[in-house]
This record gives sequence, structure tokens and C-alpha cells, in this order.
Amino acid sequence: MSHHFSFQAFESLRSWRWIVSLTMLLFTSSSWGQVPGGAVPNVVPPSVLTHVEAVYPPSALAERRHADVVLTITVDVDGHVSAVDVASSGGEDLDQAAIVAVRQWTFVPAKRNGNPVSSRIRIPFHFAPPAAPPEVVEQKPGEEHELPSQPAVPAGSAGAPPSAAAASTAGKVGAAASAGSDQPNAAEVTVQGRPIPPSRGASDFNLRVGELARVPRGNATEMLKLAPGILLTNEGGEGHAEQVFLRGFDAREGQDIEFSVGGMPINEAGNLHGNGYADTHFIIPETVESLRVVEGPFDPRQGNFAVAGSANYELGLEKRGFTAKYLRGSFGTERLLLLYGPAEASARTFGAAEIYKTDGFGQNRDAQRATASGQYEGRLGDKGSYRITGMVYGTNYHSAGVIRDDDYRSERIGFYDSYDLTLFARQQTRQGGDATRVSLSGDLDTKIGDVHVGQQLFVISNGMRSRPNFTGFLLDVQKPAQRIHEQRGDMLDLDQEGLTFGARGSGKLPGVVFGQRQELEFGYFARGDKVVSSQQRLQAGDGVPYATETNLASKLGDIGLYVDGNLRLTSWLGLRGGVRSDLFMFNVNDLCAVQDVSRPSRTNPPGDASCLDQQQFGLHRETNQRSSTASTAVLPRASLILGPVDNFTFTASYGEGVRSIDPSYITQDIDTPFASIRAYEGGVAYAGHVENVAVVARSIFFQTHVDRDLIFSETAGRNVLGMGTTRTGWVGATRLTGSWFDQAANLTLVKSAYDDTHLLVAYSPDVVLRSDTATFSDLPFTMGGSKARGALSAGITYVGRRPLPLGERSQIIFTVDASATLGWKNFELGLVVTNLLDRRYRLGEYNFVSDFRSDPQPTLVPVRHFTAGAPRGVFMTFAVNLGGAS
Amino acid sequence: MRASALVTGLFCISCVGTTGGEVITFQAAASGPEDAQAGQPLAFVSDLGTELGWNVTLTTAKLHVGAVYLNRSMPVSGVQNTSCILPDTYLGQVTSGLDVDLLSPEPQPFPTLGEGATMPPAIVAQVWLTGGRIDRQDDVTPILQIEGTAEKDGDRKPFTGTITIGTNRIQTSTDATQIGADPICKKRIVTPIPVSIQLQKTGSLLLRINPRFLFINVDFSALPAFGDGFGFTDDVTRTDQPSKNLYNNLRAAGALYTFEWVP
Repeated sequence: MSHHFSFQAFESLRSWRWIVSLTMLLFTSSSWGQVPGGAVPNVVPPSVLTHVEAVYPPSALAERRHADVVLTITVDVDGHVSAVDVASSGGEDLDQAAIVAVRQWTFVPAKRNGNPVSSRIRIPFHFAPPAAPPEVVEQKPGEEHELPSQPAVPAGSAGAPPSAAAASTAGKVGAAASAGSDQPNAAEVTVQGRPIPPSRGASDFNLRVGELARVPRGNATEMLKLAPGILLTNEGGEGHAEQVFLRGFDAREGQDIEFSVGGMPINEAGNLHGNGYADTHFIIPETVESLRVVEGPFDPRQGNFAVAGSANYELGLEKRGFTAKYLRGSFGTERLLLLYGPAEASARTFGAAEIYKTDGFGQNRDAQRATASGQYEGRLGDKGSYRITGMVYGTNYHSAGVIRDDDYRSERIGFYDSYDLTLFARQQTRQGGDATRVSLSGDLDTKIGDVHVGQQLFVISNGMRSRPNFTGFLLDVQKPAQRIHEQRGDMLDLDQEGLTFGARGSGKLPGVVFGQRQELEFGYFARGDKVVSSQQRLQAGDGVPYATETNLASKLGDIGLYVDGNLRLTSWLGLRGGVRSDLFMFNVNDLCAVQDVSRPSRTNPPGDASCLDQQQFGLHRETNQRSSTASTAVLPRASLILGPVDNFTFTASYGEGVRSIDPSYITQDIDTPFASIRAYEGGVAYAGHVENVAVVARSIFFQTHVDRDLIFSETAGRNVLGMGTTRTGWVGATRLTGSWFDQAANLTLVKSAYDDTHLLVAYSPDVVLRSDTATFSDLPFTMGGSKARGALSAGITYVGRRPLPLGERSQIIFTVDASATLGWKNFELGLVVTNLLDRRYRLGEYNFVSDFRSDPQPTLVPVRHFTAGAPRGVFMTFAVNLGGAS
Repeated sequence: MRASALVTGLFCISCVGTTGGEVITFQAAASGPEDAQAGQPLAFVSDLGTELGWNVTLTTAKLHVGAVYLNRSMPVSGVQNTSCILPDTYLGQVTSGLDVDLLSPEPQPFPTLGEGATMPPAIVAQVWLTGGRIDRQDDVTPILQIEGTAEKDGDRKPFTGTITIGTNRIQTSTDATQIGADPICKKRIVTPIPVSIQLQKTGSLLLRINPRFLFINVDFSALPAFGDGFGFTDDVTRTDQPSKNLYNNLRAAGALYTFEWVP
């Protein structure tokens, strides 16, 4: 007689690149179910306390293997797994994956007459490759991350339907089977995990990178291209944050996008280069598990800087064991990457380190960086999990800066050159910079009663120095009290140090109204920043600072509270949204408050000094002046969700966003002129299958209005406040995932114009097309008895002619990046080619005034400048994985 | 269907529109007064109707124009008083130097095309009198070269003159609070010359320079002797009235320089 019970677990769509759907049947061994004498003893079989999902091994992914593995394990008296045998093999790699997972399970031990006893049980695993779409488009209202009644995917299923819930399973399998029965009993399954916030509509992109990780990407920021409408440029060098354009916004280096990693903010409040500057280079791309991009301010969780939208990176490492990867190629580029994911831990536990150097593709473009990051995810019994994440990053780089088009055309300077190294504009101190970032974050996710609780604490220390020179020799104003001087050079030397403490938390209350499951979430976000920033001008000849333009010591605070309802009115109609309110506090000590005085002291004139200690008629004053103020923003946000109905989901959203003011604009008690953003959109999403291909498609119309936009000023070297603007456009996006390919494509059309003049906003692209493709398969030959695996990928970017000031249009950007990889056993050899067509393109184009002394007289009307895009680069990669599941 | 039409419409409108204005290049030239005759001396009466009136015959009058700029706004007081370059105010420029024969009414083209934008209209012009960079102090380029005679009541004074604007024009203030108040660039830039010009894709910019206005309030009777005749000095330390006023007239944004757009 055998006692057996079963349970089914539902694996999430959020897993790294595929769905593992497993059905678990636990069979008690016949040996302990029988007792002498034939009496039926009071026997209770073991029940699963915590479980860890098996990781679908990459080696099986290439051939999209479905397989069953049955393990026989011993559960000892304290509930741990003490022995594991393979009863039925599904292949070595799958067997190992199952063993690694089951060894992490814990049980309530079996009991005989109330006493714990060891037991022997069988556990079958079913491995299935991903067929579900790698994005979460929409869930049925109210079923986002807790699935108490969600039927588990039966064994043999190809995966969850795309409209099903997505949650990272934390591994609670609740009820055990009844004991003493001869029949298997299906266990009730509850899957808990880190919740994905309920979708806000068609513009809420929950992106699993998946196989598209094969598409060449230089850094984590480039993963944003998986979301529609993204253009990335960089005029500042490899260690400088990418400039992001999104749906008609020139979001600069993050000023208009709220960036976070694992919930920890990336935007640097009070950064002088741009309030909200967000450099994501500290994120190792291989450790990005998923990315959520919300295009628009539609989620009450979105806070400061979520003007154009928000992007949150979730970290994880799918490949377990130790992986070493080395890249070498064009421009003297080398990269060494070390990854470690303990086999017995979840994908969210990993360590990673990277060292990178390049000479750059032209003059003055060398860069080097090092990064180390680690994350540990632990269990809180059967209630949830906690994570600790640490990151350290440092970089030093140089930048070529901009090139004047007329100088390039007259061959005074080469396409990939830098003025810093020309005879007529030589700089002793070259453009470039350095940056550091150290962060530590701890969070937990658990349940207290029925309330789902999340809490996170973080501390971030960052520093950066940036030395751009957009204008050459133009801005050195001769002041009456200064000695007579020529233009000494416009190179900025911006230095920034910031220390951030913060926390966020939430509590979610479920309930049932109208016979439907409802949720109400209350949450908060708080951060305090201590920022010291200065900006000086450097003499071209010797690099000596000759003027201090800004010197601020700021204490900034942002406390935001929100309530978010996830209300299910009917089975097909949901209303999500609520309101967020942020209090922004500023305490800014301007250490260089007076830089000019029209009637200075005759006996002690200020001369060339920048930060003066006198006022009119030479009266003494201190050089500093402190200002403080505070303001509150109230931001309603709501989305109406219809569906899914026959795989279609219709959404309509409204939201208001906010961008706090740059500390350099703060004066005492100023009514801080927040930029107020209103966004509207309507969209439809389809998620389903066409034969064996998972299909996700979206169509979105949107409009966004900003009452005071930020417009980049080359002379100021940063954004300055401008007039109101409105963006109207359409986004189309598809992703097709089959057994041997993954294809994403998106197109964004947008018109971005000033409200008063209806003229276009300069620089924002109005047409952006992006395609990412990956194909992968076993190759038709073996080596040493093992199959070889091959993969090809391509990323294509098309950006239309961007509007430039004075009625100009930029050139088109069209690039193709590609890669090919050959895998065998634990080794992988890759070839990466960037800019495959070797197009000489301009990554950024600008119209403004500069004087780089290439002509005797300065050009004082705006002229075309550009930053060069990289020519074709060819790189070889070699990777080896040891000790992993594959 | 309607959505498709909307997307198509957006695709069309997304690539049109403008940020305003248009960047153009244009022909630019400079000349002497309209009533001058090419190859002929220019005769006129200076300060007609005043006691300083002399019959002047110019046989040579050449002016070196280093550059020409058109501005969208008037300079304002404050820091702009000493700043020679005011970014964001310029909308037209001709940056190649030209030696203009002021005795010829024919437009003499600048070596290179001018550049500018069609919006908004220019209301101020600048003439840069320099042979090198505007803030280099040691420029020795002859800016103005004149030769001729002045006659009054039988008194005939043949004269020559060459004016440069370099280290010879530097005057350092004795006021320690104003030592940088008069940079050399300010002496080389003639502004604000009032204009009303909207640059267009067709046409050309013409700068007319009437040398008659060089001699306003110039008392030829006080001309210092120079060689066999008389001459305007180029030494700032010698403050004879004719030389001083000629130099000031050269830098006056009055009637000496006029701009027009020739369709």
C-alpha cells in the first residue's frame, strides 16, 4: 500500500528566460506506510514547507527540450533532504537541475503516531521551455501576484498562458496532503513572491530580457531599447550617463526618467550636471533579470523624475555556477567578467565582477571601469524572502566632445577626432571624467496576516567629475574688475559628491467586494540626499581653474506617500490607480553666492576672484548664502483595464508626474516651480499564441503635456527651464517568441511641440524604430559526443531625422549590431560586431554657438555640431561555465 | 481601420514641422557710398555749414572689416558692457575679412558666404574692425588707410593716415575696480548699428561705408605734420584733435555704416 499525495506549482512568467512549469507528485514509500499486524497506524506523510524552483538549464534551452525527471529523496526527521536518487532521468543536465533544486527544499517531516520519522518519497519534475511571451502584458484584474485559486500548470504543459499572472516564486507550498490515504491528493498551492505591481496599461512594459540578451548591448542602459521609443546618445564618454530620448522627451541623462535597480534609486538628486542624473553603467548587463519600463506617469509608485516614465532593473543570474567571460576586440577593448551563482541558491543570489578597458574608437575616447556586485536572497520561513544587494563601481574616461560640422567638412578636424588634441584648441586638461558609486540595499517581502508587506532600506554614495567643453572659447566674460584677459577656455570642471539614505515600503490589503478580489496598497518612499557640487572653468593652456561658477552644499529631502487601488469591478473590468503626494525639501548653501558686484571696494577690489566677500561699496559679507524651501505635489493616477477578452486588453490611463527643481534655482522660500506633467493614453494589447509562437502586440496612442519643460543649454552645459510643451504620438510594439527564436520590434511616432508657438521641440526624435532578434538552435553536428549549439542575434536601430534648432534636421541614424555564438559543453565562443554596416553616423547632432578657434573670427550664429557614432567594431568573446547546472 | 488611418496620419505629421526659422547662407558685400565713382577720388565738404567745413578730396580710403554680425536684440547694460561676445543674440554673420575700397560704389563681395537664420529679424548690426582674433591685443593690421587733401580758404593740407587697433589703443584704468572695463575687443567692435533686416534665402547683404562720416568734427587745421605733408597719428598717447576724432568716428555706430538687404 502506498501513500502518495501531489501538489502542483505554478512557475512564474518572471523567471529568467523561460517558464518552468512543474507538477510535483510526492509518493510516500510503501515501506513506511505498512505496519505489522495490518493495523493502520496514524501516519502523516511529509509536507513541503519551502521549495525552490528548478532552473531550466541553458543547455536544454537550445533544443527546447520537454522532459520529466523523477527523483527519490529522503526527508530526514528535521525536514531536510538527506539523500537524492534519480529514479527516472530526463538527461544529465535536467537531472542536475532537479537535484540542485530539491536539495534546497524543506519539509514538515513525516510523522508516525505524532513522532517525526524519516521518509522516502518520489518527486517528479517536468521541464518545459518557455512558450509564454517574455513580457507581462496584462493579467486578469486582481490576479497579479498571488494565485490562491489559480490552477497550476499541469505536467506537460507548454507553459502558462501569456495573460496569466507573473510572480517570482518564493516557494511556499501550503497545504500538505492528507495522510493515511491510499489515493493521491492534490495539494492546494499558493505561490508567493516579489509582486510585480499591477500593470498600468499598454505602456507598462515588463520585459524579460531572455534570449534577447544575445543582442549586442554595451551597457545596461541599452536594455531600455527593448521598450519602444528609446534613443540613446552619449556626448560625454563611456563613463558618462547615456542621454535618453523617450516618446518625444529629451530626458537627458535621466532627469526625466525615474531609474531604479531592485527598487533602489539611481537618479542623483541635486546633481549639478542635471537634477536626476542617472548613470547605469554600474549595472552589469549580464545580471539584469528583467526590466520594467513604464512610459508615462501612470503608477502611484512612480516618484520624482518620472516625467517621461520610469525604468526599474531587477537583478538575477540565471546561469548557476562559476562563469568567466573574456572579450577582446577593436579599439583595444578588453573585458573580463566573472559571475558566480551558487547552485543551491535562487537566481537572485549571485556575485559578479567586471573589469573593462578600451582605447576608444577615435581620439580621446579611452575608458576603464571596474564593477563588483552581489546579491543574496534568503527565505523568511514560508512567508517570504529578503534580499541584500551591494554594488561597487568606479570609472575613469575621456571624451572626444563635439565636432563642428563646418570644421569637419573643411578637413580641419577628422570625424572621430577631438578638439582637445588639435593645434588651435588644444586643452591641457582633456574632456572626460570619472565616477564612483557604492550602494547597499536590504529589503524584505513577507506577509503579516493577510497583509502583504514590503520594506526596503538603502544607502548610496556616489561621486562624479565631468569635464565637458561644448563651446570652446566663447563664454569667458571680461568683468570690469578683472585684469584684461583673452578667452581662456570654456571647459567645465564639474565635481559632485552625494550621499543618499532612503527607504520605501508598502502594505497591501486584500479583500472581496462585488464578489471580486480587490486590493488596496499603501506605500511610502523617502530619501534624503546630502550633495556637494561645484562647477569651475578651466584654462585651456594649463588646466588651471580660473572661475568658480557654482559651489553648492545641499540637503534634499523627498517623502512620498501613495495609495493604490487595484479594483476589480467585474471579471473583465478593472480600475487601478490612486494618488501620490510628494513633499520635496531643499536646504541649499550657496558657497559662492556673490560673483559680481557693480560697485566694489576701491581699496580691496575683487580682481579675478569668483566668490566675493563684499557687496556694494565694498561692505563685507560672507561668501555663502543659505536658502531653504519646501513644496508639495499631489499626483492622481488611474488606469481603466478592460479584459483580457479573447487575448485582448484595452486600457485607458491618466497620470500626473513631477520633476523637482534643480538646487541651483533655489532661493529662500521660493514657491518651487515644479514641472507639472499630465499624461493621457489609450491602448490595446494582444497576448496569445499563434500555433507554437507566443505573440505580444500593443498599440498605444498617447499625449503628454509639460507646463515647464527643461531645454538643454550648451552654454550653461545643462538643462534650463523652458516653456510648456505637448507630445502626441503612437507606439506599436510586438514580441514573438518561438521555440528557436525571439523577436521584438517597436515603432514610435511622436510630435513634440511648444504650446505657444507650436514649433517643434528640438532634438527629440519623432520616428524611432527598433528591432531585436535572436535565433538559437542545436547545430547538426557533435563534437566529442556533445552537441554544439549556435545562436545568431541582431539589433537594428532606425531614428528619423531629428528636429534641430533653427529649422534644421539631423541625419538619419541607422545601425545594425550582430552577434554569433557557438556553444559546446560548458564553453561558449562568440563573435560580436557592432555597426555591422560600418556606417559613418552621427550619434548626436546639435545646433548651437561655439568657437573652437578654427577660424580667425568666431562663428556666433548656431552651427551644426555632432558627436560621432562608433565605426564597426569586431569583438571575440569566450566564456566558460563551471559547476553550474548546465 | 480608423486606428490605421490615425497611425498613418501620425507618421506623416511626425516627420514634418519645424523648430522655427531656417538656416541659410547668403552673399555679402561691402562698398563705398552710392554716389562715389569707381576709380575716382571722392570729393566732399566735411562738416558742411560749420566752421570746421573743409573741402576734402579722398584719393585713398580703405577699411579692413574683420567680420560682420547681425543681432536679434540690443545689448543691455550690466555685464554686457564689457563682454564682447553675447551668445544667443546673433542670427547672421560674415566672418571673413575684407579690405573695402570706400571710394567705390560697387559691392565688393566678402570672400566667403555669410551664414544666418531667417528668424527673427535683426535689429542690430556689428562691424568688427580687426585683423585677428577680437581679443588679441597685438594686432597690427591696418584698419583704416586714407590719403587725400583738405582745402579751406586757400589752405591746402595733403594728408595720410593709417589706423590700427592693437596695443596702441590699450588704456589701463587707474581705478583698480575698473582695470578690465575697457578691453581691446570693445574698441574693435562697432555697435549697436541699428538695422531692420530679415535674412532671406535670396538676396544679399550689403554694407555701405560712407567715408564722409569719418571726418565729422575733424579740424584739419590741427593736423600734425607728417613727412612732406600732414598725417593722422596712430599713437594713442598723442591726442591731437583730428586723429582722436577720426578714430572715434571710425568706431561710431552712426551713419558711417549702413546695412541693407538687396533682394
